[in-house]
Amino acid sequence: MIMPYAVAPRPETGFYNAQLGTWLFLVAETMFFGALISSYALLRTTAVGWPEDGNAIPWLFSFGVTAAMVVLGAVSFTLNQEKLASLTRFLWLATGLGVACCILYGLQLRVLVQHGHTPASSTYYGLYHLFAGILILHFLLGGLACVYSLAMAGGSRDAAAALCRVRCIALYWRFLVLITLVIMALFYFS
Amino acid sequence: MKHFKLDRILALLGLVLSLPPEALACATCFGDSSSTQTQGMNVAIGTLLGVTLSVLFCIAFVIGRIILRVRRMQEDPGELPLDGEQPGVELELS
Repeated sequence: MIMPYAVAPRPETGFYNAQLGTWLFLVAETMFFGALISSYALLRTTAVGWPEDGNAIPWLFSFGVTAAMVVLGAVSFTLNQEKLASLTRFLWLATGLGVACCILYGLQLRVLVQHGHTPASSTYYGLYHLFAGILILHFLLGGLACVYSLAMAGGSRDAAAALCRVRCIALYWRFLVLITLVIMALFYFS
Repeated sequence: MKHFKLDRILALLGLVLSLPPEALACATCFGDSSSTQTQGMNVAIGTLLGVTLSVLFCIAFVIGRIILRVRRMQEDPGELPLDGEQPGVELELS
């Protein structure tokens, strides 16, 4: 059985199957984060006692996550999209940095809870725990996708299919970099 | 009996209509534009509208791009793949 447009783009759309699926997934993710940010805007405007100085959350962990994502974003722009080795290196880097970000966020939430800043303590901390938790889930999902893709690429007989798959996961990680930076800006610079 | 029911309904309706606007306790229903609740709702609507419109604009852009590509391909049929020549990968069915 032949699967059409699995590796070569369809002439009418310019997308191959996995690329179209990834873009549709990212559109759904954009709407999801859009709804979250909209809820954040509503709660922030009506909240009583919102911290003004932006130092309510330890900087060190957030700085680590932001730095990791900035490095990932910068590396993603130097990728050679046509070379599997280049994309595979990016996936290894993304997996490593994603796991590091999960650990940093986990430590940060632990420190906050130890200081009595649980999700129930205020709207601000409730929102921060929610956003951090959702980001952790996304990093884990991205890491799992990377590990799966790397495992499949190693044993794949079809290099073109592996290249398409890896390219799509790299696109997802670029989206995560953008979302992380937006969330950091919401809690520290707005 | 029917008259009695109608009287009660009309009396209830009259009571509801004669309530002062302040009785609509929620700032959103009352329409207080200076309330933080209303302001927050406006900001939230603006944010979600911005995201939704951006996404819709992107979808419209992609649809427009596809229409242009198809038109270009119709003008130059040499670009169209022939039947049975679609690029694909062989799948193994177990």
